[in-house]
Amino acid sequence: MITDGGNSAGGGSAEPRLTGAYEAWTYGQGSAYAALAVPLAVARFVPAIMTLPPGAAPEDLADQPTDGGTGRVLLPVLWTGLSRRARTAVPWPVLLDFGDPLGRGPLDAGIVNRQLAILTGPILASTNRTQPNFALNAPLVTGTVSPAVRGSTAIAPDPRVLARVNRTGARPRVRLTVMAVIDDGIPFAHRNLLNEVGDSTRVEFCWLQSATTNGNLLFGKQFTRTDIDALRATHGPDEDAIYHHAGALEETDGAPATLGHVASHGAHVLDAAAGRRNDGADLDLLRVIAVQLPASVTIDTTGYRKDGAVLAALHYIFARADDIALAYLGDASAELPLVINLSYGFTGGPHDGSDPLEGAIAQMVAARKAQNKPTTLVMPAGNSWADAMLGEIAPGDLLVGRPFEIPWRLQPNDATSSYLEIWAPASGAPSSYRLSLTDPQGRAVTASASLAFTAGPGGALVAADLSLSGAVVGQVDIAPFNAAWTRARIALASTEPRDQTLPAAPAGQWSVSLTRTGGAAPTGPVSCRIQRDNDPFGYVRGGKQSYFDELADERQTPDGAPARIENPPGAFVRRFGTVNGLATHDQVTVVSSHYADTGRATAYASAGPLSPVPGAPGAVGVSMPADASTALRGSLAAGTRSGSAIRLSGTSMAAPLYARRIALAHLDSALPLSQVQPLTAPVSQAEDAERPVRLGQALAG
Amino acid sequence: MSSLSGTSGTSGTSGTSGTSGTSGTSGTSGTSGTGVAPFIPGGSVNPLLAGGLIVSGMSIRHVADPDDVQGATVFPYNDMPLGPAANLAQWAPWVRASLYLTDTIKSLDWRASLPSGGTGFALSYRRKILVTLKRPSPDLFRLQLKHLRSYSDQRADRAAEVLTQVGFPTDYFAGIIGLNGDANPRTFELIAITQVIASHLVLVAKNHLPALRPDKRGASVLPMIPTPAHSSFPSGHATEAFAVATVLSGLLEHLDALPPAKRRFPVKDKLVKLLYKQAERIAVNRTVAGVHFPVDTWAGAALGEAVGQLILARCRGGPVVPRDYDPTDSDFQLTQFIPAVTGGAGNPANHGLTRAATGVAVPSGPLFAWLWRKVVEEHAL
Repeated sequence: MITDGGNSAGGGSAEPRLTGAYEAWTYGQGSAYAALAVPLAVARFVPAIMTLPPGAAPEDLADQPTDGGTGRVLLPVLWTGLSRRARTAVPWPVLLDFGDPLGRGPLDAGIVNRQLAILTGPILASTNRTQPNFALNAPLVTGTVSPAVRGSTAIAPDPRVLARVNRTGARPRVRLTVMAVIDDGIPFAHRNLLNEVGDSTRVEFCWLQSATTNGNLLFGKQFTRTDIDALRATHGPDEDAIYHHAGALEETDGAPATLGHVASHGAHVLDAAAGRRNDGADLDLLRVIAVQLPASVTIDTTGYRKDGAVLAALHYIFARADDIALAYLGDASAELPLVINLSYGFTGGPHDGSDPLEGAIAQMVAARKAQNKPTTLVMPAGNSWADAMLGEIAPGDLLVGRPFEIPWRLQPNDATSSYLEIWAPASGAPSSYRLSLTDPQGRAVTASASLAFTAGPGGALVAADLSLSGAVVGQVDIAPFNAAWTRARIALASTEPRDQTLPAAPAGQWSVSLTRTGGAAPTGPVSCRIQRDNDPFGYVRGGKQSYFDELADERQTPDGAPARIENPPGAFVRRFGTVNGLATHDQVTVVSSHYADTGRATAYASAGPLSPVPGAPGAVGVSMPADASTALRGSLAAGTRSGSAIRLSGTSMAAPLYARRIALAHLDSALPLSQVQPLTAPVSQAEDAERPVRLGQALAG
Repeated sequence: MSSLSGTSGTSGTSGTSGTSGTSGTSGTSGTSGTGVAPFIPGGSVNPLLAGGLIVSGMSIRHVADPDDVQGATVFPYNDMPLGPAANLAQWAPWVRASLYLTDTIKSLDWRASLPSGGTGFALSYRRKILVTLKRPSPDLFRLQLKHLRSYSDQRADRAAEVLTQVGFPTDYFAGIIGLNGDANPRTFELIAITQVIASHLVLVAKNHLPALRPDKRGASVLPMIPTPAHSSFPSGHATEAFAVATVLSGLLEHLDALPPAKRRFPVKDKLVKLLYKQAERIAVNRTVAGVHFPVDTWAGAALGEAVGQLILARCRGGPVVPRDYDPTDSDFQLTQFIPAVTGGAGNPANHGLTRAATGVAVPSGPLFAWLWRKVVEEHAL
């Protein structure tokens, strides 16, 4: 909780601010609603991304206790292929160590920023550089961290695979390929991941980021192929025993391990991407790297984000892929194809590739491609098409002095915070705005500071607590995001806090009123995006999704079917543009989903912008049949235990189907290519016209 | 829930507010409307069995003296002892239920005029006012429709609860304190009679405070279950659920006050929170279903808590805290209704509910005292 008022939102304070809008809430008042596995009072280790000014290397800061501070920067496995002295700012995954909680007091946004300012002081002092900045995730459990460990890289190649690789000629038809999966609930000992004769796993590396440390990585636990084979040898076919003894069934971050369930997201995805199938490929050449993100990262679908953990996973995968190239091909710079399936994302964000984590991911993929190593990042489009979480205000609806009412409905019993992002174009001449909020009872919400702001040159930070009857129930944080955008981030407290002593935000229809007070008209629509706030598969956390409740939103067709096309122009709620906010850069293939029987888009698959520049970032690239039909949802893939098959539905199930196609095309140039899936149902003209944008290229299963 | 047969009110729920007339929930035929069903456990006697008993009686009676009056050996014997609670264990549960109910009702009175003037519902025990309720205005009900809209988003989540709580939701409480039908028949009896008394009293309150249901006030409510044919205000489910939560919390507190070696509930405080939270959930599920307003729940919870205190007092003596509810446009939240349970910062007075500083002392009665003793014995170590 907040210890001194000046820090609560960073407003009106001379304190340094090296963190962003979300930390102001998640490491401020909002932390009380988060049900953190590690309360901030005892938190010490926090994954983060650290964006350094041009020319600075992460090693400059690493492991150095600084004068006057208790904090330090710890480095996980970092890929060596990214330049340490780039001319552009580079984001790095780090683990921040804020020191012994006893000597420090509860971690909050104030302490975080003071410590980070001390830590990065030498960089600022040495040159006249821009300030580094940080994006923090939820803290890690102390027992999962080994502060002194960087991670060893020695691996023993599978001799039979090695022999096969060595037999292939200069231009082989088949070649070694790596499939990397970043997910939750990874069944690394699954039979579908074994080699053909069944005596060794194809999983070369598996990193469980929030497992209790065994001292082989900075945080979490790593299993190599040898480790997994040893576990299988010791415990035989009893996978319960394997995972139990491996520490993979521990409760992590206060959540029971999803690997203990009959199905997990990661089991399905990993099997769909790399599991054994009768598809004619020599899968022994498909080597697997799997990373399981901390449960806290999976559980919190919004506020604490995933930046540090995801970027650390990507560095790990790139580094380990080079290790595999060295071990099997004798050369870390060999042209080893790598396909990465990343099943994460968010509904907020600028959606033009300029989110910092997007930038970091794109930078890495581009750098590996630049080394002539085939690299494909595959991500799902998202499932929020029908969820009314995106609204757009046309410039013409923002006449000076005419408020636009954003209808934001919060559900009762939402145990978690709700977030709304308002993205105002800032690339043109400055526009002035004012925000105000009204609660479902029609009461005006009191803001601790004026909510007037400027988008464009001259815009400054606006931070204010929101209160009703004297109790703080939310926070506004408005800041220039980059040259193109100013972002207003509104956080509202849980409508039914788990800790019932905390003030709740009333459930019902909130109205967020945006008024342009002067300046130029915006150069484009103002986008309003609600962050995801429901329970991810396998977790019960009590999130209830808020949404825009607008009369003009045609959620159903006249005959009662769910909406299959974009809303009419007058509506605020949009369905195109809902695509995964972590997948709008130019180094990712975005995968949507359609029904296998008709080729029609699924009722849930998010979509890129309706009028995209062809091939531009943010567009859906391909679509895969993730559902059999409207009556039989989902597709089959492995459950957590060998021999089980589970039907799951979502674009997360479509993405690995495509990742597999790409990997197999690398692995064996003689395998047949995918057929295009034709549309075989009569559809409206509008749906037909939108289909190519909605689905990209629809491929048959 | 395992075997509950013979425990009045748990199997078969006819007469409960909110359930009568809903197909599929009425209990034993011929008893609907009494509120203490099933009055005739087992229903009608099997005719084949009757035939068998007649024939066997005719076939064996010759070995006994043919006349019980003439020629019988005279020996001294006693009839059943006198006293209100002397033979309760011999009576069928439904008989006891009838006795508990009439014993409670005979000390209560109600009228349509409030002591402060104006109309409403005033419930008193031996002329001491326990509960006063005012009816919300039509406009207040209209404002409350926004809450119906809010909660309707959760129908898919809560459908299983809504459908299994149309009758008395006893199982939802039983699991919290680990009750079992074979081991705890008298605790189920206490829960059942609490619900039955609460149900009868809330129907009286409803009759004094008639109010249209949400589906008659708003066109978009469209309830997910049939709307019962009685007043919306107060909520019967809220009355019954909060009465049960109050009584079971009283039981846990009693057991917790025993010497440490005899205590059975090491996490009593958490269980009390769960009981009240469950009561809130059950009551709010009716708003989710589209058949109650939050103000109905406020009034029902206030009445139910008083009924619970009254039953506890009849069991072991104690206070009933008088309360007054003057509705305001509020959502119902446990932290606001009874902040002390969860340690919340709510204030019921902000929502129109005021409780008196001191309670009305109510003595225990022999019938409930007997039941209480049996209940406590069930939880003895």
